Amino acid sequence: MAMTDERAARYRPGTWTAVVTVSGSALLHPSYAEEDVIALWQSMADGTGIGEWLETLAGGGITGLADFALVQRAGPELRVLVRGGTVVIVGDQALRAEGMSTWREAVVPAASSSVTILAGDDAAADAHALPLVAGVVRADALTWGAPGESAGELSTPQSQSASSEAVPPVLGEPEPPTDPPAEPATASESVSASQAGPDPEELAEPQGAEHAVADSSAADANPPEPGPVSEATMHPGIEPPPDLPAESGIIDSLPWSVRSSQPSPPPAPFAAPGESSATDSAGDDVDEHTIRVPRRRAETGPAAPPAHASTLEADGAWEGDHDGSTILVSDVAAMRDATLTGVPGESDVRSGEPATSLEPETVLLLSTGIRVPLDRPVLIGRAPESSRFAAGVEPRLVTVPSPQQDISRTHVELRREGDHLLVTDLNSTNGTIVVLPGSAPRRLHAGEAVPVRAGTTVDLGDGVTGTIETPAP
Amino acid sequence: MQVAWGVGTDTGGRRAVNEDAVLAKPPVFVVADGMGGHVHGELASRAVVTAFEELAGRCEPDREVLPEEIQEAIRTAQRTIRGVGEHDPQGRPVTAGSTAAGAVLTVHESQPFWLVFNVGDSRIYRLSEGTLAQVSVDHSVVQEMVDAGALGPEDARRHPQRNVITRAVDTGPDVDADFWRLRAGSRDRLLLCSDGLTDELSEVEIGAVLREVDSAQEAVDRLIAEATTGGARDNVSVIVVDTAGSDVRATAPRPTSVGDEGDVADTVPRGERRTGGRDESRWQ
Repeated sequence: MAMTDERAARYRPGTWTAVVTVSGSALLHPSYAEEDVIALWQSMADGTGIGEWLETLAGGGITGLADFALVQRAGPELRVLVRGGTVVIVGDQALRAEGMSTWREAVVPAASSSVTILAGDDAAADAHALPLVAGVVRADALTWGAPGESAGELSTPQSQSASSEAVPPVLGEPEPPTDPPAEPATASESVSASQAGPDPEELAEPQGAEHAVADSSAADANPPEPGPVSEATMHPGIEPPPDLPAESGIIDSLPWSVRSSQPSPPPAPFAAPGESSATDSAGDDVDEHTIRVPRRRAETGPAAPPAHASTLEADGAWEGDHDGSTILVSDVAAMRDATLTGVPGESDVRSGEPATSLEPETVLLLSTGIRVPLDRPVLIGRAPESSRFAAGVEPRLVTVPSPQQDISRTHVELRREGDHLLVTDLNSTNGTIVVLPGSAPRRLHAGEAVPVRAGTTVDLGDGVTGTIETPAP
Repeated sequence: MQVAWGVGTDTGGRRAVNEDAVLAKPPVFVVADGMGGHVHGELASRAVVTAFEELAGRCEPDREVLPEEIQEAIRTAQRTIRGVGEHDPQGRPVTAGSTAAGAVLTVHESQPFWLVFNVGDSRIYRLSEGTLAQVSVDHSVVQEMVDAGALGPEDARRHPQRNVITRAVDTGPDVDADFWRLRAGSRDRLLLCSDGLTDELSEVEIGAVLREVDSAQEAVDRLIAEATTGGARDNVSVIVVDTAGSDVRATAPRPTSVGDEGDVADTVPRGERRTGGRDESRWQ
């Protein structure tokens, strides 16, 4: 039962990301983004050189580059790149990048040596090592080529399933076996079970239909609550972080995902018409003009190599051109043409918004005697300010007197959302009371939004109220 | 309303050129961080500053500057950037771009307001009642991760992709800025900066300087000095603007900064420091 097959690695589950392919392996610091991992995986699967691997990680410049270790098989040798605190042990030789500002590169004879990659010196390689032929897993340590002294652990059902899930379809064709598949339960079955493997496209699917993005300033004052609220504050195209299944060691949901080719969702009306006050309050911090569909969702293909990769080849170009410099995401993503067609539509949607969805006849009649048209979002307060709006949809600021300072600076928002009018408390100090016709007064929670109708009264405190009026049909 | 400002930009310790450009021409203040390589980055940030310089030249104290005008200045800058050299010597299309982070002091509903805007990851902060708060929201990949809860703010500062922005004033399609409308308070201080500053200094460090140093120009100089000590990785550009109502003016006059007031409003040449200035009572 000894694990003599060189292709089978073993890993210890952890928080780092291990990438294992037939051409080599990598261990990446947890801060690497999913697109980095996928790009690296693709590059490794494509059989490119270790320089290309590095470029998939270093597209954003090198000074902020997190720790990594890359090991490529090159005939009888191994090419090794280590950065930061990672350690690669080949035979009895340990390679570290201590004191190096970039990384350490080494070519070492591999022959029959065992190879171990550690996230750091404090990581132990051989404890509870699970087998892996190829794939991407969360791991702190990775080893292969060593005699299977801990073979007993490698054949447990748990480790088999872990291995199976980790095999992506990309690897459907295993390397020609150098020796007969002595252990069908590990190697062969793993490959054949590749339907369970993570498909980049699947990973990229958004989790739900909530396209709401919390306005960051409002979100600060209104910490997310468990349950539906946290879902509603997810960014479109980004999955919730996988805080639950960490112990599995298998990446079935990376911390964030990249939309590869989805059409852009329209700037989202978060409130389903009518009911669902839970949804309403979940999205309360969101207003339509704070939502920006990021450009990158159309540009960042999972396998896209950096567009400027070729320019990085030149020696020294990294420091001068890319070290700490600002670069546009499309430079990294090399799918610029797709963007060019995608973005103007986005703009059109935005600029078309206010005119079509708002009814100018509805007004708020304030107790101060002012009539406020509700043809665009209105912010009312003692000294209101507007947060994050686009040209053409600037909210109307209405200042009301508050001698006792009971009313917050920016206290409440009124905004049309489809056929509904929403009243949103903007985390005011003393709250907002809403009286729907025929209902008891209701105090909004900080940040809560409620749909209202004509005849509703909104009480801000300090004697200031407003009544919503619409002309008779 | 009294306005005093300081402005500075520095190449930093490790880069050969300064691709940043800054504009302090009341009532318009802009920081632009160019990208796309040496020549193109300079070109792009310069185009941004030039477009806003023209806007500043058209401003009058009693006329409101609208978000649409700022948007148009950004479009103008994009046309300029697109118009210069479609391809590089290798025949590849040039992708030059710049961030734009700015603030325009203007009347709105008969009261003085800052109209704050951004494209990209240069930032605007406000120091109000001793508290520093970031006003702008970066158009960047890491900001999206932070929004999604996938990344903490401190991790964002070190993330390898922290310099990847999702919007730019560039050769691409027309870009939209985000806007904020802030009251021009009597003791408020605005900070505009390129990411070279926030890469090197934490908000705590930045806030400490802004609280301790009364003069806007001295605050700018100190921020740049602290950021570039030991060699900033990127260009560092900083503008500090103080607004003071008449109440403050009587009790806490800000020291007049040294320097040539005549042309402080002009674009600051790359790699040089220029002093700030002050401008009283013309802008509401």
